[in-house]
Amino acid sequence: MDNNIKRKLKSVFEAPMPAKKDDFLNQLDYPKASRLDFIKSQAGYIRKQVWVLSLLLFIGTLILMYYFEVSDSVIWILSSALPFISLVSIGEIFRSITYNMDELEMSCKHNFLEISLIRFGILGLANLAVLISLLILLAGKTDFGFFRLGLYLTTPYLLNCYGSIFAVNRLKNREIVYVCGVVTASVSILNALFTTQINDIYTDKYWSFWIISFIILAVFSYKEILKLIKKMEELKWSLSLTV
Amino acid sequence: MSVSLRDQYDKIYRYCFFKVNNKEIAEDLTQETFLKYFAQTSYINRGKPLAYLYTIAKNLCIDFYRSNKGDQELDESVLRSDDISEFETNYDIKQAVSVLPDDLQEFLLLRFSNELGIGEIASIMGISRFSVYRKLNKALGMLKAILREE
Repeated sequence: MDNNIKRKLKSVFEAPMPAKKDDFLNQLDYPKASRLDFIKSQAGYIRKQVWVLSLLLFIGTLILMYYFEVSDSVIWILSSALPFISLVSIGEIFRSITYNMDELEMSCKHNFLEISLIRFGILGLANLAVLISLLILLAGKTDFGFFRLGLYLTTPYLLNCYGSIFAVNRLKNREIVYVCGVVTASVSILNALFTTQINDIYTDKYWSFWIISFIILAVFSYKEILKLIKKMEELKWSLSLTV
Repeated sequence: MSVSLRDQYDKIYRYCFFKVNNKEIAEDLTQETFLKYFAQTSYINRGKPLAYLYTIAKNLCIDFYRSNKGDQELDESVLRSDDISEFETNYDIKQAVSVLPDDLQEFLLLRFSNELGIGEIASIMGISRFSVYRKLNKALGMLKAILREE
């Protein structure tokens, strides 16, 4: 009986149709959300696992530094773990792009490209913050210096970014996130193998190899990101043609 | 125009109509509510925007009664006959609700017609969540008793 009453109560208070509703709402000049509000709302839609993984890596580094002496082994462990942060970030972007989540979430208030770029920015900044925090923590404890250490940590990360976005740009199936997972695991294992098998990989002997790799991967990643943006523009156009 | 704004317009209008029982005045008060709400942008970022919307509507209805006491005769009989013809199937429950005290009717409207959460109702009415539950249970209990008698 309770449910029946509650259901009927819904219509008990019905009022006559309002006469001026449409005119009023069409003319209503209500304050729009600011750019900062927009960024904040988008950050809220990013899944918790992205932040949790970044935090775990940061805490893991602190623990490593506390219990072990900072050495080459710590660097290869960290540089092998960093691609996984980019995996969750790319997975997050892929989720939005594939399922057009952004359109639903913002009710078409902002366009698809704008929302995706904001998310890129948020995730990129979050990754950068983790990376810089790690560098600040480790820089003083090694002989490499800030930039050299940054190079060792970011090169595998960039390789993973390039590989994953390359896959996102060319494959169309929805299982693409698993492909990105395979790319990440491969990069991580390769990095671990390289750095443990080649004893002097972090010495001056291979310095030029790291710089060249970094520059090539940065350029390639940039090109892939541009392709991804172009792809989203096409998608936006296609969506605009649908009713 | 977002869907939720249209939806909220209907709900605030329903609330004002319940309070003043006059279509035109209810709509004027609804529009005044939205204008006041958006004139103070700080409401939007305070975390309980819906409660503020209702609080403004409630205060406007109170102000309306204060300033128009005795001036305006509200044609309740016309409204009631309209309502009956529109919701004939729910006639019994409508009659039963009309017997309840006004404050309990308001709780029922906010909870079941406008589908507000307990926390939101508590915020609008300025009472605790426990008190809202108590009022709703009391209203439903009285309603069932009236319906059983009929």
